[in-house]
Amino acid sequence: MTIESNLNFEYVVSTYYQALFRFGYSLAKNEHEASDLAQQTFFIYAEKGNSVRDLAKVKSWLFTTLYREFLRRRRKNARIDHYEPEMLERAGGSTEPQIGRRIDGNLAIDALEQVDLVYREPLSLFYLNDLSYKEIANILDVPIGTIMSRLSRGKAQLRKIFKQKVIQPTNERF
Amino acid sequence: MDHEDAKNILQLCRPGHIGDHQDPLIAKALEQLDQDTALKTWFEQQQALDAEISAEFSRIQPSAELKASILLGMHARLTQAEWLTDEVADTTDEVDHHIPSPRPTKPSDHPLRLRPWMSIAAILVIAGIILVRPGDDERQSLVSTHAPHSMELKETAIKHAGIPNIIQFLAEQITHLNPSQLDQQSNTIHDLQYHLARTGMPNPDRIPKELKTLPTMGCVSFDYQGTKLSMICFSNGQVYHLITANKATFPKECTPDNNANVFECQQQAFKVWSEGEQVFILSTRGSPKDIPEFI
Repeated sequence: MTIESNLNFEYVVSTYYQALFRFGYSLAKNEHEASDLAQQTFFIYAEKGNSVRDLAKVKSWLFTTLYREFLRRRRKNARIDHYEPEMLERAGGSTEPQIGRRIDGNLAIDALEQVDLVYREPLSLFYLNDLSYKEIANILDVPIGTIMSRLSRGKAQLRKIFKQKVIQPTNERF
Repeated sequence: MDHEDAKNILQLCRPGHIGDHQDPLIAKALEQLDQDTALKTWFEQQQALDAEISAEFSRIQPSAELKASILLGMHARLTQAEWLTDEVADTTDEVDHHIPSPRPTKPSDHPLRLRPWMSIAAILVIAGIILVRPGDDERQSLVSTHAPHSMELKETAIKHAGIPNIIQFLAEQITHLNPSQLDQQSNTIHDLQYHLARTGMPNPDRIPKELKTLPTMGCVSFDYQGTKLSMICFSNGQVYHLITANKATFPKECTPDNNANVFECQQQAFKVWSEGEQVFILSTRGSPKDIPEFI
């Protein structure tokens, strides 16, 4: 491992780990899985990232990788949903209290959960404020026109829900 | 472009991102603002609300340890990949400068396979031993010092003599293991134990406390003459393998009673112990002194 690769890792991780964690959190809705998704994305980058030579493309590559990893896990979980409860219990062991922990009281995430499923991913990428609409289309692998319409409709839903949540008394949000 | 078209396009504009204003599509919609007061008011309101939602998103913060944990795991994985494969060199520009890993990756490179120069060296060593006939103390000092390669070969051969076959089998598997061959890759023990349980392979009832804190790389299973063995790989720069088997099917000659057994084979150290109905083997690259007192 060269000094150059160390510096590169340090730079890439410092620049993107928070945004990736937030995107992971918006998808998985729990802190543990969001951390796990962000870590796994960087581990894949450590193994395969040398294929991304253009540093400008690293950001899209990382978000795309995290999104694909999330989808892969969802598909895997869907396949094993039918396993016996005892087997799952044995596999899981004792559940640590932090596993599945949610970041309480985030209005944006709570509002996002009430938006139609198809709009959630483009919206969360948009509000991370890091990616242009073209980059979002690339990450989600959909045409730009589709992203435009999903953002437009999704934002209309989200704004409405978000406004309602903002004016709710605080104690109703817990 | 009419009022509604402009609205749809302006939705793509992120608050505070001047770069978005230079996007040809958005720039054209922005031009409408000067001629359409209602559109301008709407746009300003939307931008303010978008900024508020974005600020709410940015309140989501990862744990303080996440960055360090990612960097540690990345370095561990890269180190492991460099150890286990020579293939990495083929995919980089540094191929001409790559110093081949001392670790064998092909059966033909196996250290115990005799090559012509090794045979000659061995003959010379044997001839030397016969002619000089050193005493036991002298022989011991030869083994324990940094001797030339021919002496290291002799040391390896001596240590191999009492090594159970199952340990030799594991040493062989670990030596040639490539990360891509892992049955399941994950950096959490939880995922790997889940995989082992799901596939019916031996699943450790207890993970040694010190290993629990290390990031995992993945797991793989072996079948040694009907004995199922599962192996979980941990890494903190040094890679550790925790192998689990059911005591009932584990070879009797290698099953420890009260104390752990320690072996060294193919530059790997192995510590074998049993707990309850399971036999555990902890392995790492190096000599037995490289195995921490986990047990």
